[in-house]
Amino acid sequence: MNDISQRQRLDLYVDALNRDDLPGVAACYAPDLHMTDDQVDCPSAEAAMAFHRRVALRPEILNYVDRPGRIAAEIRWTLRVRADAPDHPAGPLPKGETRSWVSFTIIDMADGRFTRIRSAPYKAAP
Amino acid sequence: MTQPATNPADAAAAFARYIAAFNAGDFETACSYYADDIRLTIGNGRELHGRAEIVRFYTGVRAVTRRTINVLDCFASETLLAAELESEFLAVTDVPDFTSGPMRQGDRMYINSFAFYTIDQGRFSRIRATVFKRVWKRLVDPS
Repeated sequence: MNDISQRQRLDLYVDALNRDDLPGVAACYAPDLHMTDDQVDCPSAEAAMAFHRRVALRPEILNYVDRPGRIAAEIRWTLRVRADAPDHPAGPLPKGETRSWVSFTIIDMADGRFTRIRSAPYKAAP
Repeated sequence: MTQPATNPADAAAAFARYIAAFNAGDFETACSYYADDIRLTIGNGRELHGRAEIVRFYTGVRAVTRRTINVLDCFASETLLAAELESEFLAVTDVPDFTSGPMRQGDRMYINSFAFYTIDQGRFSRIRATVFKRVWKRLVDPS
């Protein structure tokens, strides 16, 4: 998993999300992944995949910079709810609802996989 | 050196000097890192245009709070610097209209933020910050 660059790994992740290739998404996650933002907290890869099964995410990378072991990216996200999610932490999400936002995201990596994804919403125009 | 490093390898040291100037209220040095058309977007989405507006805004912040910024991480390409910062604000007076919410004298606010600094010809032309985590530490009312 670590024979490709960090940028290539992120590009594969984005491509997998945009194609609804959930096995491809899962391949980017370390088992002990922690993914969190202002609305969702997934303390494991299993929890993150459960989230992905409820909502479809369509990311677009706007800016990117990295150092070994860490990526910082500005990402435009579009979310579409696959099925009613009455227990969504930020409030009930009805099937078909879409939301779009931009985040500054920091991704920690080990052995070519994501171990921690932290996103903060950007509140002004990109 | 009072400007961003053009070599990404030197970016962390140059950025540390910028933040040190900011913490010291040395806005002359801090502003030397800015392009003439600098735009700075703070965590709540408010955008500040130009050195004068930035200095005016942060002079106001320093008048009512003690703010310390720590650089948790920083790395850069030739055109973009990413930083993870932690800031603590201590209100030195009551600030009912503080930018992040009302503060009473003695209240503290901790912010963990992610920021991108666009680098243009060796200076910051755009700074954009987001708030990842905000924690209030309210002074307990002795009464």
